[in-house]
Amino acid sequence: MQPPGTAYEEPHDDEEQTERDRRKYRSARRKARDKESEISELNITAMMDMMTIILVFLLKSYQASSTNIAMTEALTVPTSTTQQNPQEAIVVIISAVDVVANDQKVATVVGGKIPAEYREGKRESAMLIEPLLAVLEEEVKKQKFIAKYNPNAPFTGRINVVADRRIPYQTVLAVLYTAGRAELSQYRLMALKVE
Amino acid sequence: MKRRVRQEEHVGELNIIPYLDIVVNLVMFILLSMAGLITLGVLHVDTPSAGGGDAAMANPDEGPKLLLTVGVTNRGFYVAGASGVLEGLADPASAMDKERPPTLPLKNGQYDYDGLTRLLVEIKTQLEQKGSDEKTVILVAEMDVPYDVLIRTMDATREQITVHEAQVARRVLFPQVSLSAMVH
Repeated sequence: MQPPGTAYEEPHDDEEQTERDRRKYRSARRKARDKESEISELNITAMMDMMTIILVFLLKSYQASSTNIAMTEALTVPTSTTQQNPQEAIVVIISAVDVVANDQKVATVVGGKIPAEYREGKRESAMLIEPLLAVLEEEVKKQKFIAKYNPNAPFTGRINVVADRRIPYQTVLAVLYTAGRAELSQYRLMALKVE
Repeated sequence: MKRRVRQEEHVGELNIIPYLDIVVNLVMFILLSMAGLITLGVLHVDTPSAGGGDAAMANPDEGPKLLLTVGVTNRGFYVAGASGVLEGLADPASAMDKERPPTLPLKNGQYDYDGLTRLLVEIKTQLEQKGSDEKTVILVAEMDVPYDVLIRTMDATREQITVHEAQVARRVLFPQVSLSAMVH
């Protein structure tokens, strides 16, 4: 098979060369692979799974807590030992500076009281807060319209009242009275839960 | 052979590191804002206009109603109930006279919530002995009483919380609150 003479040497040389090359290549490849696996082949798939699930769960529970109130200097909600949980309802927030119904500012609060200009007939003694009544009536109309077509969402007449701890009884009563006039008579006073 | 290896490396892995960055950041952010999120509770109250009269008329068969009334003034608490049901309670109509001293005056300028709870426990016990299951309390407050005092008074009238050997016991007193304005 092998031709005589110099031709014998050549293939040997060539074979040796390729053998050396191959070995060199393999060792280089192994080195490269080793180096690579040390750094970039962390298995993060499991962590990613977990993170994604946590993210979805958190987003969901974030959304579920419908009434989240930003506590500020003007709105410090009192604490209570009550065990009942809030339900979905129209929210009226009475802070030390304004009255907000469903994210709409309806009146200002000065020194814990609602000025006469917002009250019925612009009288100081009147209980009814006119702009609040307008907003609540609008909301009640909307809820009743929904209730007419969706028996799963009946009109409950619930109203959640959140108030600053310094707000006098008079102002709370005026808001409750106005809500009552707008057919919202299931009052829920909100407070921070303490265990 | 070389070519095949290079191809393998190219197909290798999706670069999910930026995605991971975003997700981790979002989780951190949401977790932090959840910690700031407050757990709210609610207190049920009835119409302010539901005065004593209606409540007394509601069920004539059940005998005389107690009409337990707690008055919150800036001098302290007044506790009153319909005469003839329990002894030792002032009549609601005359109870909140300015001339009369409050049932539970302020203690060092603070409202005596504990004293109120103790008094109501006594009343509740007496009622239970008579077989009555009264749950309603009428809350009357002066116009300038802060909301905080109102909530804490409701807490004091609703239940008695006793901690005994790390066990929290709740005794329900008068959970149904009727708000009412003080008649001047």
